[in-house]
Amino acid sequence: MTIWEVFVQTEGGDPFEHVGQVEAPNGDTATLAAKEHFVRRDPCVGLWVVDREDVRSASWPPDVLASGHEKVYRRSLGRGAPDDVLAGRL
Amino acid sequence: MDIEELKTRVAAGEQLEPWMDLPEEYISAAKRMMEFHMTSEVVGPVHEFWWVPKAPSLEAKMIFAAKSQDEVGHGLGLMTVCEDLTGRSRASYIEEMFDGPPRFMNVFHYPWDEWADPVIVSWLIDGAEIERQTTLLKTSYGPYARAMKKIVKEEGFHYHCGRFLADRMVHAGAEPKRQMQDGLVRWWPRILAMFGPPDSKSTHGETLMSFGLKLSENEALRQSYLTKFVPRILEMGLEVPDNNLGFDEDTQVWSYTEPDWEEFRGLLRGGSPVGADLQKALRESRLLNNWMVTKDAA
Amino acid sequence: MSAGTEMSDRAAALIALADDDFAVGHVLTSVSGFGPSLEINVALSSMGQDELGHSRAYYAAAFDDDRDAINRAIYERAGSDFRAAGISWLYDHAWEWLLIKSYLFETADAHRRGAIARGNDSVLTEMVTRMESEEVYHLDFWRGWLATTCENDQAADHLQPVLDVAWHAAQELFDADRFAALVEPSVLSAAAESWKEEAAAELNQLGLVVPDKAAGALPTGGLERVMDEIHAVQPMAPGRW
Repeated sequence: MTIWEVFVQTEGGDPFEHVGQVEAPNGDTATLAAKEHFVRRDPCVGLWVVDREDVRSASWPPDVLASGHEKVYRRSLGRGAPDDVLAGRL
Repeated sequence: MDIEELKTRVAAGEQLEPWMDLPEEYISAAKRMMEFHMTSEVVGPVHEFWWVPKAPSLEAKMIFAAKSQDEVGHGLGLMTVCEDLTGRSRASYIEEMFDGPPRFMNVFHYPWDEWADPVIVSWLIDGAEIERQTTLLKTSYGPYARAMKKIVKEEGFHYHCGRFLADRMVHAGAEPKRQMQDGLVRWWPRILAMFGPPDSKSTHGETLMSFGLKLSENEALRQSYLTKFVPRILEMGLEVPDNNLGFDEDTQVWSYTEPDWEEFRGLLRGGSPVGADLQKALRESRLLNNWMVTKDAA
Repeated sequence: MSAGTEMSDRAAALIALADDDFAVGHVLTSVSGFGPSLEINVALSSMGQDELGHSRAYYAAAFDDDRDAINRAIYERAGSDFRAAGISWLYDHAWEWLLIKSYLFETADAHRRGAIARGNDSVLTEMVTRMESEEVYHLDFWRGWLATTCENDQAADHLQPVLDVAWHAAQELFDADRFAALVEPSVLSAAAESWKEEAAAELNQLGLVVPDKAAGALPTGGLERVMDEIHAVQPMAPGRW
């Protein structure tokens, strides 16, 4: 039995959102299961099922994954901030 | 991660994920709590599907079928969360359910012999679950909190379904109304017990609270339930069958007949009136279709 | 329609369609607690609810939207007065029965609805068209699961004996007399032939053989069981539901 991760797009233009998983022998039966389990009541324009084995998870810990988060020089300071303040922050 | 660090992070509102280095005690507590919830959602529908065919009108049938279907989906959602936490396969969970002693909510241990039973359960018990389950949206175990989103959305419908069926039943005639009242007499003590003993009597409850898995004290939930549901029962034209029921305006506390906690605990120790029947039904449907399991199934 | 007036042929034919969907919907919503997996069970219930909804649409057309008349037609008629095909009442949650019954019913009903939609009755055509978005899923579900099930080398052992009794029984779904008021017999029988050709080809491809003649009668008891179930509450709790 394969585990399939399920992604749903609610309306055109929305990102596909991970909603959970189903177990099924193949992609067709996984899609059949995912539709009735996850989008019985909600609007939906797109549905993906992905074999869990095909999902590649980055193995970096949170501090490595988020290392870009602290880089001040990539940030906008907002309207009105003088340009030399940006360089000054380095 | 050690337990003290975990408690600090949880108290700060952090939600935990299975790939973090979670302490054994936390995993064990989360597993026990989620498996109990999951098992309840898998055995509960057996009762319901004994009654779906008997719903007395086409509307009742469709509504009750939709509600029962949701419960199966809740079992499915929680099952996947348990599988990921423990590494156990679906097959092993299903098989355990029909062999081991069943561990699930008290209300499912009793027989549902009359139509009033599924009606009352849907109205008063699904209704009771809404508040507790809403608190679980913030449970410290991330996958559990995420699975609860869909569950909580659907519980609201279940309460309305129950209220619709109850309303139909009390207005269907004198006899159905009398059966609802009798049903309340049967179910009231079980509903009160459902929230569990006050947390001062439960070390387990304290652990779950300190881990952020559980977010409301049992007594607080019971009190909140009484405030919401006693008026609703009266509005339905029924009486609450509890001579000790009363609300103290000064302390703002409800008093009620203390549930029989021995009976409550006994249900999980072999004292279940219908546990064996439920297991038998699950086992039979699994064995009937065993040949379908493909070669590579776990 | 009020009690005492003679039922028109059109109403009688609509009720026959409604009865088929009611029988199928009742069985599906009931067995969905006891199917092979949680995922399948969720889908069975959806499809059963869809069929009940379709039955309600057909009953509503027959009874001018009178809710009480619809419930009386379902809950107060004797089993022998229902006009569903025998296969619609098949009531068994073992996968081989559920799968073959549903595959035959859904594929046949698709051709039948197609024949009806091509007729002159615009109300009916519109009604049937509205059902399509649900029926597409039903067809995909049963055809998908038939194909998947047949990948299992034990499948034929379980499915062939069922097909041997169910194949011919399914043809009652195209009974010309029952539906003459809604569709020309020649159109209906052409639909039956297309259905047989397509379904036989699909089944053969999956390793199953369409029988020349029925190996035996369909198991009985389904209709009686449904009647017992839907009549269970009224005597216990009489009143207007």
